[in-house]
Amino acid sequence: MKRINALVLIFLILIFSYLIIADIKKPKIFVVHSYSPEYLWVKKINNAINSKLQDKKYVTIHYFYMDSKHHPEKNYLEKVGKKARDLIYSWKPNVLIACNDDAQNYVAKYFVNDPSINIVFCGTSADPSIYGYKNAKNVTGIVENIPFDAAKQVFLSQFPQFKKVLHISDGSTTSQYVNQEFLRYKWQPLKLTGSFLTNDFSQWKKHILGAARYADFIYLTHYHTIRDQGRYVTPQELIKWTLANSPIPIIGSFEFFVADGGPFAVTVSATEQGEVAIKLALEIIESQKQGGEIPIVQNKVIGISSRQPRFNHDFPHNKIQGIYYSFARESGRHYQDDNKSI
Amino acid sequence: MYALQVMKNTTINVRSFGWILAIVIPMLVYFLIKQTPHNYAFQHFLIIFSIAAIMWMFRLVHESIPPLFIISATMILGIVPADIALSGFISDAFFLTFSLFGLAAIIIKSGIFKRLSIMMCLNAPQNSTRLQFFLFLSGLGLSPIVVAQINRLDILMPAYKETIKAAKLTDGSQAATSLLIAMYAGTIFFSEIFLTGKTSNIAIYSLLPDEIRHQFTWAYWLLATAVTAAVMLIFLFLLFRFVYKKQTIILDRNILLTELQKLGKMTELEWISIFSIMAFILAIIISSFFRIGLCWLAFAILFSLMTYGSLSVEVFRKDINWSFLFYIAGIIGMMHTIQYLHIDSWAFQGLAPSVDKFMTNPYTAIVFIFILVFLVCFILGTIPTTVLLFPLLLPYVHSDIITPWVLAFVILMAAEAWWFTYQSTYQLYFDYMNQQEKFDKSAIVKFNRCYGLIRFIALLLSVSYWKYLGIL
Repeated sequence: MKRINALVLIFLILIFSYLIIADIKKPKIFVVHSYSPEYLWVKKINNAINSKLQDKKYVTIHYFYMDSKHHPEKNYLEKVGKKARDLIYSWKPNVLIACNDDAQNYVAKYFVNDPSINIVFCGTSADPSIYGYKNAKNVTGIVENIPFDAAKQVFLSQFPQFKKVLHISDGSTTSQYVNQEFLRYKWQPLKLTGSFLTNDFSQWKKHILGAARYADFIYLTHYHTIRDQGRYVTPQELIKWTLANSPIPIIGSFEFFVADGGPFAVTVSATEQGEVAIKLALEIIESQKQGGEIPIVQNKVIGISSRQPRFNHDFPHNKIQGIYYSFARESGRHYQDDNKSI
Repeated sequence: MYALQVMKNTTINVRSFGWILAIVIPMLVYFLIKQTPHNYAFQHFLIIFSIAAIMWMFRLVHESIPPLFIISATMILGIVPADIALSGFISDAFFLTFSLFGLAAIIIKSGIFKRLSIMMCLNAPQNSTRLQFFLFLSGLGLSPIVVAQINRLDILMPAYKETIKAAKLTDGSQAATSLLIAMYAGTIFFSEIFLTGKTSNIAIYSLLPDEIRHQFTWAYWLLATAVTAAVMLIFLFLLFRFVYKKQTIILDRNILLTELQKLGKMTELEWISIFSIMAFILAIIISSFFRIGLCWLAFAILFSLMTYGSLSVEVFRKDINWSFLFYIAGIIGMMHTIQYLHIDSWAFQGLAPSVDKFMTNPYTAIVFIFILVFLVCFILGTIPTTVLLFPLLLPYVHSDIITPWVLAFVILMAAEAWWFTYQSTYQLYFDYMNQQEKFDKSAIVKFNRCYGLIRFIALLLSVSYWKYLGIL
């Protein structure tokens, strides 16, 4: 009996040790968002990630938010970036998912070719090579380019009266890269008549109020780092003023524009960014590949987002075409003025 | 208790060997599976499962412990979502088994069957055939109501003992053995014929696809198994006609009357037992005709009994087989985990062409499944074999050859065709009983082996009937 008891004891010690070690060695994913959790873009990415992880409970996930929209200052970003990097060094995740440009700039690029971690980037408007991702052994991801071709098609079919486009956005890092894309893109038969970037609300107001001199409509991208004499202007407040004062209609390029009160947007899909990022992360974990072995993905999905009755107010000569309306409704991106998406 | 007793009796050397394997095999599995491209969940579940399998094989712990170990380990490591790992605890099977255990607890506690058996013995003709028939019928009658075979043995063993005592038969005599076999045949052999005949039926039923569960009400299950039951009954009749021939048995009426007097008037609990049995029969009828979940009707009966105070907290705590309930819940969760991780299709991946060869017509499929279950039972025993092989074989079921229900039924039937006593849970009961009172257990073993073949024939003879019913 003593022999049995000794064997049972050894068995139990080994079992508990095994469970503890296996638990510690669970695959870990660290997600760094450039922005804050209440931002719709971030919410959609997180929803996509979490829904893919529903059946992968053995994957431990940790989120970190840099909140760069509220704090675009370089000092702050360096400080918060270091904090994220320290967390990564201590937690030792298998995969780092870095969302949007600040997360690449202040966190992910420090781990390029680090054999202990793989990087999956998403939401980057910049060329990945500027972060050293080109030919890196441990990096893959999905780029986020404004869907210019799709947007142009929508503009031409939905708003045939518009010929001249004006781009206005904040002056954030991401917007700098987006601006380069705007300037590079061949807009014919439309014409890009200007692209203004500013972080100052008074400048913003000036650009909006004078927009009719340049264009038939404004194509709006980011607007989350605008300050009014040092005071942070909330996106809702900014869009409210902009819609009330713009002499020409405004079309957004992200769903958050419509969520903040705008009438219409041809959007990049945050859900696609999240879904592809987590898919790549899981592929790295489950197939034990290095990030560099998996090709970088180009975003393919576009979204249409609309709001009634705001659309009818801003575009009295246009009715939302059935296909866009259906698309927006089907994908849960059609808003009513009670601000609920349906 | 008997299982623990038998566990203790397993030789020290065998148990030591088992524990050594429980340490070594998972390590081997770990090093082998590490080389494969399977993910974390798959790899670690196989390691955990190998530990549980060794525990089962060598009866190192009570049978309810391995599935609980699997659940806790899969939850700790997050191998599957909680709703999969714990699915057994929210399944119909769990509530039906729980309710039937409650019902059985009242029947056992009331001792109604002891009174009924004495009364029937007093009025029974003085020959072995009629007494055999009486004991057989009692077992058969209890089968759909008292779900655990061991509970049925618990209920009928006093009746058997009373009969032996009153007939002044010696243990091991041919007459005593024939009565024992009759009681055993009624209690055990027709367990698969009724949906609620044994816990494995309910566990497997819960793993059947939704549309099949909807089709197979309690009554339809009985209809589907009718020919199998008829064939088995005919063989049983022939066996008693030619092997255990009719003998005159004189029962001592004085002993029986004294026993009856000792019992006194019908107690309230006995009346409640009768009422509960009738209510359950009514529930079976209602559930079969109106398609109301039998588990909830049975649960309602149990709830009523608890509200009325008939099922006391003490009985609820002590006389419901909680370890077995956890076992059933754990094993259902384990099966869902296997399906969720696609281990079922992986396990037979290499064997798929061979398995497919047998799945070309219902007869070869039944022969293959029966033999496979029979062989695996040598290693794992009846219940683990049943619940393991069902999800593993399910991917090979082609609806034009064999349906999931037929697969389930063949597995259930084959698992009862055990060869050695260690394979079967209720045989452990006989081992335990045999340590207290001697009776000829070898007769039961021989009888069961012979009946394994009869089960096999009965299944093959049922194929045409299943085709007629549209089940095949």
